Amino acid sequence: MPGDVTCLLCPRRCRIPPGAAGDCRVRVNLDGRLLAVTYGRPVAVHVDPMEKKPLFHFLPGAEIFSLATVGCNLHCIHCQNWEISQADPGEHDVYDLPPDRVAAVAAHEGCRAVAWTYTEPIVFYEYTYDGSVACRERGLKTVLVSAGYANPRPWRRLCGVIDAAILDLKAFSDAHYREVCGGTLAPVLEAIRIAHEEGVWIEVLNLLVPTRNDDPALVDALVDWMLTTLGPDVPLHFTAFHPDYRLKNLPPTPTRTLLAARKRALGAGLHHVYVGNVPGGEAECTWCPACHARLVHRVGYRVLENRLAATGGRCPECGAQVAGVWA
Amino acid sequence: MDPVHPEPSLPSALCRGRRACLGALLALAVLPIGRLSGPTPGRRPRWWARVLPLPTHLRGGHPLAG
Ligand code: SF4
Ligand SMILES: [Zn+2]
Repeated sequence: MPGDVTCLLCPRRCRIPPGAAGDCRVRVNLDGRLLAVTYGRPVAVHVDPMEKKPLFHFLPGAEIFSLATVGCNLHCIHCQNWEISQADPGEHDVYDLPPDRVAAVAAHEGCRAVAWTYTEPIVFYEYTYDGSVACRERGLKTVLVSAGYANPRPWRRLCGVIDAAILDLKAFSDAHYREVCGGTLAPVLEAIRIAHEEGVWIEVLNLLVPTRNDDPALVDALVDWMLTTLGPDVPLHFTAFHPDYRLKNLPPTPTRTLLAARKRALGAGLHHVYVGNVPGGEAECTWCPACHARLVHRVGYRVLENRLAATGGRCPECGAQVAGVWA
Repeated sequence: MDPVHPEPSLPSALCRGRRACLGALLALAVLPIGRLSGPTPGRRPRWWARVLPLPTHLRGGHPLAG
């Protein structure tokens, strides 16, 4: 139709008629111009611990200024932040926080880094990009928390202004992406590969949903892909599902499922595999892949000891270099 | 970087011409059904939200994941 615009940002490639929005609800065709209507208008702004993202090999214990606008280009039926991710731009009150103010407020709050998180930073791409540039100019690190459902060109460009990312790989199954998230697997794998290639420090997150993606064969396939494509040093986090949004008929993921997945992943050769929601356990500490000394001691979101900060990431016991950004 | 956030005075421009609105509604009505979510067909979203001052206390105690 004349006047339609096509958004090339993510694999949906929405063709948007005048006055309408794309599937993510926040990219709008106004008078033939594609506009990101949540630019500079976050709906959530908080100072979080780095461990909450969860990033474990990137400035442990640092505080991170975290923000999101509404909107997402996936529609997971178990989304924990669905009130804002699956909302229209006018549905919630917002803050006026243009990119330079993000950097200024984050610095004022004493944060060392800024995270584009909670919903999906790809859909507010221009804000994420400009905000990241402004943050870097102030000496702040930039972090993405994303599901990586993006097209390669804009994604690669964004990677150029991002220091670290926690990338949510929902399952090593295209069927799971289609049935549970309304997306597809291949673009996500490509985005993770590109981020790694571009030198972004990445960690991968896999949320295990009972009966949906907790099959050991799926975990093995995901781990195999990581080993082959990213190598053994990219950390993997298994996290627990909680009944929420439109998936309330399943129980929370049992801790034993998460620990079993971790055991398989470590056994296959990944060096750093973590489990969320088991405070105080060995599965949330960082261990030397060579001598198995405990190097970062975490309990929940708190870092009790970080033996890598002073050594630039070298194990004080055996001298092995541990991958990550430690100070 | 373009596109940028338009000025908040723009809502009036949104309804410029009923043809555009009608076109949008028609297009939404013929979008494929069966997807998990996305814009609700037939319901016109508000693009602009109420803007509040940033809270002074930004730490602790919120339930958002990530
Ligand atoms: S970013 Fe939004 S508008 Fe653009 S293609 Fe993806 S879902 Fe559609
Ligand atoms: Zn060691």
